[in-house]
Amino acid sequence: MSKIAGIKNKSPETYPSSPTKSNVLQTLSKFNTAPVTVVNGSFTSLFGGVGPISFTAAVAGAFATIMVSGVLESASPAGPTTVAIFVDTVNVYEIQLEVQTAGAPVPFSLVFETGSLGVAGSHQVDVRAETSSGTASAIDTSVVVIVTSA
Amino acid sequence: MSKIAGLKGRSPETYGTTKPSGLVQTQPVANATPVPLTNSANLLVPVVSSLPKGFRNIILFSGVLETPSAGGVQVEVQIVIDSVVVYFITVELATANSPAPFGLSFESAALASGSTISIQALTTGVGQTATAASGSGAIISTPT
Repeated sequence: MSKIAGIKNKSPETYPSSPTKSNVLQTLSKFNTAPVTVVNGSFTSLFGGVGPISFTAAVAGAFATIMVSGVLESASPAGPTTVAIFVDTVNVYEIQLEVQTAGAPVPFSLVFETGSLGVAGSHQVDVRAETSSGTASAIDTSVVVIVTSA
Repeated sequence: MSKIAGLKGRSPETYGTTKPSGLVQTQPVANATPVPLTNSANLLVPVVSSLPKGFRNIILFSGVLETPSAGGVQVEVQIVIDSVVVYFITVELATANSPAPFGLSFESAALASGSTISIQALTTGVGQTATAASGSGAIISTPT
């Protein structure tokens, strides 16, 4: 009766090692319900004053799965608008969408998984947009980031 | 010395049930090349076959559709597991050459060994054409 749960000096044969820890390092999210004006000529962050998501990968070789949703509309539609995911200021994935009717919201969704983020350290995820001409308005932008290790 | 691993008659207090590892596996699915769509199924990304046995799979995908047809067309975007369409959405492209974004999310049941996941699309009208572009997604496999 010496080998019951909780007794010290237990043998590894009798008591298997603890379950492996999850490799989900962290989940992060942000949303911005305030409208953001999107212009032509430069990418504008859809998070406005909320700011991009920043995180620190505690281990080397982490990956990030990024999910974004939001709505775009325009008072005077004028061609396609590009919505892009930026990781550490690099445009890693973008889609184009077009608002056809003034005042009619167009929903969008982006999913992207990064490659290895490299050495452990700080990273930033942002969602930005740019019109091909004129202006548009982005609203209700939401992003979820799941950071996992290999 | 009666309670060592492998012996019958062990007590549940001493030998807990096996727990899942808790490790999720993720893999990206992406295709930077535009895919021409017809009225028959067209793969938007390569078929995914490297799936862990017995895991559920959260399938996330986004992209853009466009048609040159002035009259507009409807496109069905499908998630297919082992040749079965498990989820689809229909996107209407009302205006020619106007990109329309789409997104899908679906979680599968636990899959058997050798299962495959495909993401495909087709126009709903015979003779209609469209293009899918900027396809990107992720499969998050989680232990059941």
